[in-house]
Amino acid sequence: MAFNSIEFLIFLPTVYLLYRLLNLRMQNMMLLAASYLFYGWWDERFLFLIVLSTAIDFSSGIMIDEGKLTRLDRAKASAWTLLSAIAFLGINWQAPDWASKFQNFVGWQYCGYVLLLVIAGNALYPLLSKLPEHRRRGVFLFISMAANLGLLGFFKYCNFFIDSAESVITSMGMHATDFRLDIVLPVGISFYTFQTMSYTIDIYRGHLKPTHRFLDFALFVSFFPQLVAGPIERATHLLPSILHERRIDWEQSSRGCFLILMGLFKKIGVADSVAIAVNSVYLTQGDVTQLDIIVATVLFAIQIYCDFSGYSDIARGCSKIMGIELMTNFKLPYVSRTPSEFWTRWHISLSSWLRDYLYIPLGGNRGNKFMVYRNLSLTMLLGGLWHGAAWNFVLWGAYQGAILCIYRLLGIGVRRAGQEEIGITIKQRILGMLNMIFFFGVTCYGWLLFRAVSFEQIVGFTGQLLTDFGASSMHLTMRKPTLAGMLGVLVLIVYELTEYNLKDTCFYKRFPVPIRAGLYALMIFIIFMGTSNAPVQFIYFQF
Amino acid sequence: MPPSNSSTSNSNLTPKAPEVSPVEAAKGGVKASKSAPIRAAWLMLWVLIWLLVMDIGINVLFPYPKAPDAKPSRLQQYFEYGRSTEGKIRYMVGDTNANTASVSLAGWMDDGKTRPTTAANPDGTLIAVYGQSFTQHACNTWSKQNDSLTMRMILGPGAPLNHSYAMYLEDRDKHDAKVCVLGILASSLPYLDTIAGMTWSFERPYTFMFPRYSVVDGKLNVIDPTIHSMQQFRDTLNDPAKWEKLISHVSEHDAFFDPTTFNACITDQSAIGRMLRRAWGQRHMQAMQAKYHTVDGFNPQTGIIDTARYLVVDWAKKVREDGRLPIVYVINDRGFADHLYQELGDTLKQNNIPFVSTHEYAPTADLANFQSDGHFVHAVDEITAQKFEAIFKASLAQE
Repeated sequence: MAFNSIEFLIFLPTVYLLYRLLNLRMQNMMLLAASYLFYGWWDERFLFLIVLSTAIDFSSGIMIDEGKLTRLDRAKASAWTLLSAIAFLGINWQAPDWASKFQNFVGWQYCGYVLLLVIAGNALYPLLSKLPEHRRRGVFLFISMAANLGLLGFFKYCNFFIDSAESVITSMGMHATDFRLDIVLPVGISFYTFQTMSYTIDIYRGHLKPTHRFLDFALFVSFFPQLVAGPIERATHLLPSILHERRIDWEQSSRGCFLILMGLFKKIGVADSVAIAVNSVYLTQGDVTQLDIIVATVLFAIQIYCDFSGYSDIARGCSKIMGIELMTNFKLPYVSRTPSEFWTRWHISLSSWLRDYLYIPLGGNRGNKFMVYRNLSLTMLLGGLWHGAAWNFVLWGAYQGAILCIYRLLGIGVRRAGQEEIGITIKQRILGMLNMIFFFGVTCYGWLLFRAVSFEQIVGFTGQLLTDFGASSMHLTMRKPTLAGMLGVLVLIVYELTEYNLKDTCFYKRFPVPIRAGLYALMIFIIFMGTSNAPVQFIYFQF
Repeated sequence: MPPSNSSTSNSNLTPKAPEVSPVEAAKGGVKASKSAPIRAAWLMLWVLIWLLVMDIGINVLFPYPKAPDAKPSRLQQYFEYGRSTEGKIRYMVGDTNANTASVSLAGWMDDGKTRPTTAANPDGTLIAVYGQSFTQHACNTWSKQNDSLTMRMILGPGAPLNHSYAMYLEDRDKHDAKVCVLGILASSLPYLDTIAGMTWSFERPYTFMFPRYSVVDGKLNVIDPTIHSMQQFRDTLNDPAKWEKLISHVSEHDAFFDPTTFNACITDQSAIGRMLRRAWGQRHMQAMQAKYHTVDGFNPQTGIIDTARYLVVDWAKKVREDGRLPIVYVINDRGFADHLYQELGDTLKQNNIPFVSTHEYAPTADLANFQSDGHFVHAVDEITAQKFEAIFKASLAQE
């Protein structure tokens, strides 16, 4: 189910009404059921993967910290795994009648494998629980990592590596057998596997105590607002909100509703409205001019920001009206002046995840310059690969790593989101703005790598940008964004510049009611205008 | 990636405080005020007032010109697309052909056009053409390449095969064409399940109507549209009882009919209402198209493939009975790969019906073959015309 669908328009108010009627325990159970329904709307089979990941991390977390699972804990994890295998793999919900729903031979075969897995897990438990503490902790951390990365690797990267190996073999003049597997990528797998991995790592590091409440933990893994496209929450942040009584007040509800409105405005009013123009350049096989490439890439920068931050806003808004705070994922990224600042403003939940669980363990800023550059490059390369199993994402990651290293090498100052600019001169302010514009250009080239549909397109477009300066290059042949898109971009720029200058995310609350209502009405009007665009799936669903 | 080694993790298991505006913080943080529900209601009222102002403002600033063939500005058009089909038809169709929009006349036999019944050149050949603009462009190019040809065109905008077939039946005795061209457009194939252009051309509706055919037990079943000319349509539109009866007939027999987009109502007067109806209309069309066609091809379960095969074979048989050469133009337009050829190619070959299929020389994957409005570029029409000419020459040689 997508946030911009009619189904969600019915789903969210229903969930919210039920939520307000129930007590904490029932609220959590209802939210878990709603989250599974939300995810299963795409493909119920993949719910099994979520439950499997939940069961493994629930057990691993307790084993790492406490060294033993109670019978009840083991029974809970085993029963949920088996029941989910029967419900989501054994029964074919797409079949037309009840008899054929159960005639699913392949599905029942998988259920058999799951049964064997559960039996093996329970049989090995006495052995593993007797291991010395340091070994036991390492073994269960390994099990959690292997399971999550294994799922991610198989479903997301298997065909990518097979294809790449085939290309290498073919380029060496040898014959490669077509070995491609028919694998469907489960929506949001990169998000929830990273989230659950952080849970076990934090327990291993002693930053967190494991929970014995299986259903609450399952809700942490599958909480529907952020399940398929983040923010990637940490257990230290989200789990307490799930375990404890939540308080909802008017201010929170009003901010939540505003975030939902802002998210829909960004997605429907802006992102989907400029997508038509971007696609007319990136998906054409005909000729495009240099100006087409520049305009389409700038528009893509706006599209991907509005698409992804719009999703995060809606996720935060839905969560907030239920009294659960999700982390801020975007903080005006395009005002950044350096790459390190950019990564404190863009997809913050991923960049902080990579920092805490990859960059710092690799050595972080410690060691000599070469080691720091290596750590930065490697982290960004893997960050690029996280986005998708394609070489352009790897290239985009490498590019991000390279610009981080270059800026660091040149000693260009590090500024972070929220850093105050007090007492600066007009000259410094102008220089800062020029830096901002220059770095926006640098960022946009990264988006060209990200959006390109082939390596040939990257080479072709880059060549045109660098060499094509004839009079004809300045003609615009691409499709124009819709009226909603142009109006939406204008409103968004004014809104974000005001937020930046006032340094207040809730600045609109300072306005008198009629002005504030005017802003809301304008956003609603642009959403209505945008609804006539063909709905585009959220870009980050594919990751 | 921040250049810091600090970790954000902590073991504090109490929920985080919600974000607070600095202004609110200065006032003492977030507190549920007793007047909050009243303030929210006040705010909602203001939002509604603003939306009303915007709605009225759009209607005042961008009124749609009521003259049938007026050229509205882009903004006027933008805010008008979502008017109901009936609402649009009522100001597009005037009392006479002269004050009726040309697009509303298209597709009817009594569209006011004079069509040749014999070749202009005594040694020339009359070609009768049935189809839509794609076929028109190709045949116009053909007549430029071979000036001995005269074209008699009975066309409809995006006309589906059932319209073209019915037009031939109505037109077959009215000319002495030696060659007949039937253009079948891939994107119009689903409209075989319709009886009116009004139901599938929401943003700029076509008024023309045609029979709906289906094959039942190997025989052709026909649903008559009940209206056969522009004049009949005009009379029906101006008579509420007849109009209601027609709509009832269309809703019963046209698979694409959707009352939300079709029926005029109060929302026609609201700019927001029109925008929302436009969104609804687009989703309705997407859903209907998805029922008939997917990335893998046409859905055979809908029955349109069987009907199309039957109609094309029967058309060619009738054309041959009339002593003419049939040529079928298989138009695989953008978004349809070679799916139409996949469905009709074997039938055409088995029945020895001469045909030209665009997938051979203008693959849809290559966008360079298309203009921005979706039609083929002239170079493609040139090739099509050459292929028509080759079939025509081969036929002459056989004679």
